[in-house]
Amino acid sequence: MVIWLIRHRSLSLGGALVGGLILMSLLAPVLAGGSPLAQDLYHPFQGVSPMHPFGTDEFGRDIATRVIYGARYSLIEAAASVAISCSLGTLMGLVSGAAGGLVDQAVMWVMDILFAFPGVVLALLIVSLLGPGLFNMLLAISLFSVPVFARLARNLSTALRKAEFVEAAVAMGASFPRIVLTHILPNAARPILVQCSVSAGSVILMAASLSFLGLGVQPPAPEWGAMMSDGRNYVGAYVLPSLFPGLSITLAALGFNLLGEGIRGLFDRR
Amino acid sequence: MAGYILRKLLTLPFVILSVSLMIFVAVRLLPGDPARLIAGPEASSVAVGQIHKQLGLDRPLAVQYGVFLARAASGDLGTSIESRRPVTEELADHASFTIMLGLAAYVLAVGIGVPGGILAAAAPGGRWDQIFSGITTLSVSVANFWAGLMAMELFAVQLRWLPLMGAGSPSHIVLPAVTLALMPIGLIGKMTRASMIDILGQDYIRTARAKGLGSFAIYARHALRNALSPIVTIIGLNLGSVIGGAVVTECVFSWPGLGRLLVDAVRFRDYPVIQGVALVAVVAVVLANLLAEVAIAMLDPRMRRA
Repeated sequence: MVIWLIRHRSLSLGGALVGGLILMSLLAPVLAGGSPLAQDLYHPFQGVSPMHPFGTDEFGRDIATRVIYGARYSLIEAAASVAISCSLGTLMGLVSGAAGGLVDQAVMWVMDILFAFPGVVLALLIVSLLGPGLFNMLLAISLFSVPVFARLARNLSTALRKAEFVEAAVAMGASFPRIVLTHILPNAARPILVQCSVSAGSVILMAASLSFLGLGVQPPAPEWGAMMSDGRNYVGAYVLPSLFPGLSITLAALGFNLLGEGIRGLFDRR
Repeated sequence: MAGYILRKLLTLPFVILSVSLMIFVAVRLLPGDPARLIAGPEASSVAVGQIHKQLGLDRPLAVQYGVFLARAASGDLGTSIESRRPVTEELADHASFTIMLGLAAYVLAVGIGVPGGILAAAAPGGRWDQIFSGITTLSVSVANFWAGLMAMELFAVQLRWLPLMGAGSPSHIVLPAVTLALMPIGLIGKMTRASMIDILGQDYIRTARAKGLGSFAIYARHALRNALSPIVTIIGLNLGSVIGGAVVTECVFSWPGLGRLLVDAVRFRDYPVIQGVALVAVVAVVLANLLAEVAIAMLDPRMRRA
């Protein structure tokens, strides 16, 4: 067991980080002392102490409590956005690859245009259109990851369409939905799973960036990026309100990236 | 070769047209009335109506798009609502800063990522390979605005080695450029390593070794040249994420580039500026991908037929 864990370092470290993130979100009320919004205006900018392990911010709120509750936002952002972009992108890619011809060209044309937008610029455009907030931000981030999944699924699907077992299914008169769902999808699942994990990492970074710019989750919500958009005003005098939320963002993204690499490594070994 | 470039160039107007249409429609759907913004909250509805006429906002969307295209073709992207200056002037003022920052970040990313990846591929599983894969994984995972703020705290506030923010002297570019380079260092490094390992396992490399070529000749002339096309592709594709990173980095370091212009424009709903910056960003990405494809075709004659 121990040897297996050491040999699969990426997988075990990534799994531990992601597991920690999930535990933190589930057990936030148990792990944290009080409410993430509780202010104590007599004790702003406290240093590290047993009572406030990460110090306090400009309103005397306990940073550790806020960081723990912030895990919920990151997890929700990653899960919701990956669920939307993966299902939508995979569906479009699989159908377009399996159908081929005009459908394929039309779908990929749209995806190429979406892909030409730099992610943050696209998200800024959409958020400025719909207004800032968690839901609108998620929509924007999901839209920008759709082409990634669509391209991946399409390439897998075009390759699989020529596989013998798919041609046999076609010859036996299987319907188009049946071919896509029971013959192509299961064989394309592994690379898509890896992409899901890697995408979750970049979604967390992107969501935190948008909240940091003041266009995503709004303060006083204890979202890590939003905490930093407040905390950055005090860099130079008090670094703690920016240090810990940013470290958490990085560790969460690292967790999903390592997990993705680890899963890929497992599959490649066969 | 010229035919290949020409064919690629011909697709360019179509991509730019469809992208500009998307941006145009998206921006017109913005909630809030730009005429109301220009006139101010106390203006009468008659005055707002007049500005509507002036801007042509009372005409059908299709006509507005036609006018927008015709003006854009002659180099007129409208006037900023916030500063009342032509958008093209605003873009020109800020573009040089973003180009400078982006180039500096690219030089760092290629300068570290490519040699680092080659060295890692020389002995896969070795000590340097393990260190390098740790560095690259970390550098694609780190939140760049956090890294930037922490670097600012350490090098500008505590150690006082570098200036805090702004863009006055050459030393001002160091922190933003390093911050912006983090993500591409990781991506380029990982791609270089994977591509080199793939090529080094091929038969003709073994042949080159067997006939007694030195390792420099093998790496530089035989392996790298063939490993280059995925590396060049990722460098081209990366421009999108570098532009996105520049938006955040410029806001952290008060770097007066296009990214800060965009974020400010979004805050003020300055739609002609939003439109202009988005257009420039997308055209830059499309051009970079085209450039990468042409470079690959020049490196690898097999790709010209595709």
